[in-house]
Amino acid sequence: MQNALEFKNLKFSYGTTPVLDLKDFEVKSGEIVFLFGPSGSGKSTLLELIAGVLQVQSGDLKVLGESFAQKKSSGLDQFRADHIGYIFQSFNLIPYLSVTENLLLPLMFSNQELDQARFDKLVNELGLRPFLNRAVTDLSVGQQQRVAAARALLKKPKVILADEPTSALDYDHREKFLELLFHFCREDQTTVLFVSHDRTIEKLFDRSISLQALNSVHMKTEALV
Amino acid sequence: MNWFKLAWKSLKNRRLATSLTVFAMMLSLVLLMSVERIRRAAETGFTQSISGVDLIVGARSGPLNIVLYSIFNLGQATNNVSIETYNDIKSRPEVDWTIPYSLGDGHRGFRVVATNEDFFKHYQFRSKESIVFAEGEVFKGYFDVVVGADVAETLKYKIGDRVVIAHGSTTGDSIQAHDDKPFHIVGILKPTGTNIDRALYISLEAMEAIHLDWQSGSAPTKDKQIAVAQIKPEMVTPKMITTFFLRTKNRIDTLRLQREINEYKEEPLLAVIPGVVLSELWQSLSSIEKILKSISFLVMLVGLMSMLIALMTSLNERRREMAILRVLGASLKHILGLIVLETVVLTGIAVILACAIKVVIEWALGSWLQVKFGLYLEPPLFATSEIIYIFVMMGLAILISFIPAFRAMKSALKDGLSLKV
Repeated sequence: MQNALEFKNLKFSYGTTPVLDLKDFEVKSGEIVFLFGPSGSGKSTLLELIAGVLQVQSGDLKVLGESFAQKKSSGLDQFRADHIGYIFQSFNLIPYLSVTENLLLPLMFSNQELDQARFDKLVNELGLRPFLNRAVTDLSVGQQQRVAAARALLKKPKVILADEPTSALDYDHREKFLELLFHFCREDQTTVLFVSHDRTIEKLFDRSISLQALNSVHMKTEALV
Repeated sequence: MNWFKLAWKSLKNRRLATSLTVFAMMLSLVLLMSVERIRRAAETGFTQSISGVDLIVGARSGPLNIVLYSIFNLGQATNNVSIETYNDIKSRPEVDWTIPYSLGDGHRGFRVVATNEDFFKHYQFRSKESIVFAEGEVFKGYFDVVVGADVAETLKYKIGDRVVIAHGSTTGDSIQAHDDKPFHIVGILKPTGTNIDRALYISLEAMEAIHLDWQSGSAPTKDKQIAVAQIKPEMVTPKMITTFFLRTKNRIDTLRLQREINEYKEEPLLAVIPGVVLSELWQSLSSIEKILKSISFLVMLVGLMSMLIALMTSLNERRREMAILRVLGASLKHILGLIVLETVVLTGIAVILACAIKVVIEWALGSWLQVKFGLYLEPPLFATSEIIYIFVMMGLAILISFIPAFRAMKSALKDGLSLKV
């Protein structure tokens, strides 16, 4: 089986401050990986590189077998729209759009048509049916995160990147949310890269890696924050 | 979901800032278009106060003087034209029709024009509009008077009312009045939006009749007064007129006739082509027009600035929104396009509202403007210049929107996805 993610001597720095230096790292297709590290260790930067929002500076990054080093930013945007689902820590939704409108928003950027059966399935299983026409601002944080998950899953992405999506939830909701998310990901063979500093949920993942162990850049995090 | 809907919802989300911006832009556009409309109306009202007249003939003075006193009731004639000369020129084969004017008297701030039925038959203003009676008919008896729409409106006159003509003043009150020979109103004219509305019309004979017993410009003493009953037709045959309008049968004859009148042996005369003088006069007034225009453009600039400010200040609170769109696959170009599209929607609403308000205002105030200020709002509803303003405004708005659009793009690039809120 091919790798969903491959890093080779991937280096990244903001100006003259190096942030990432990853020798070799791979994530297999369909793998659900937990990547932990303290804040400021470069987790978000890594996710932004994989999402194609940041461009590779040196070394190479392959996502689904495609090398990002050569891709232009427009190509990266299109790739993200087509293949990558992203869930933020919080505030995932556009506040002035309804739940349905938020769910359908990604279709504006990718060439995909709406898969109504999948939409219904996600909405039902994530318990969003009663909220579809509500303003997202009326929803609780947990409900909002479920909308965000549904939105990321709707286009059947090959890779889901999650930036501490559970940090605003309490422990019970955290587990429930992840179980639901992973249930869909396993069904669709979706690769998940989940970054967090909170190791209490580690056991739910296939693999757990410390970013600090991978990253040769050891930042003085206190100085940065 | 489409881009237009997204832009619309985003604007709706910031409805206060959006509506204030739309309001400012709309107001500036309404002002700009109104100034243009009024300018246009003033120009037409001015340069087309009279139409279909090829020459205005009066005693020799300056061309401007003749036009000013004959059409606009400004200044006085230096001399009169004898009726023999008038009849001579009138009977020339190349002349189609003439309208004689005998001026000099007034009534409560309005001038009295002594003329004949040819005035009602031939006088035209704007593009071939004739004089129409609102009520009544042309004067028949010596002491019948027809009043313009403004006169009737201001002085609350109706058919049958008694009117005393003041001597020697066409603008204000006069010391002497022809109160021994009062007139009765037999007709009221429809508004024309020209100076026609601001005058009273009597026959040339009536003008003679009221001055019959006057000696070298002063009123008769009681014993010398000639009573109305004593007046006989031969006594009131007109001897003088002040000026007359002339129409040739063939426009080609105009210049030759003008030259011949100017070289008229028996009497020093001056014939002017009214259109030429009127446009020259209007040109000399154009600095006011330019000031009005510059003020309107400044207002438009203020409107555009308020839009820029509204967009710029909204950007900071929208950084999260941009990050979400980026994550879903929006490119930096999409972000740029979205801001520009919002501007197009914003300006579009402002333009539509401005046009609607303009149409409503003109519909509601059109007749009032005409009666009160003599401004006739002539079609078309939207002149080329107004359409140009609309496009200039939209163009500038779109151009200006690139400032916040590029800024949004830059901050979206810098923020990436990890913006902390």
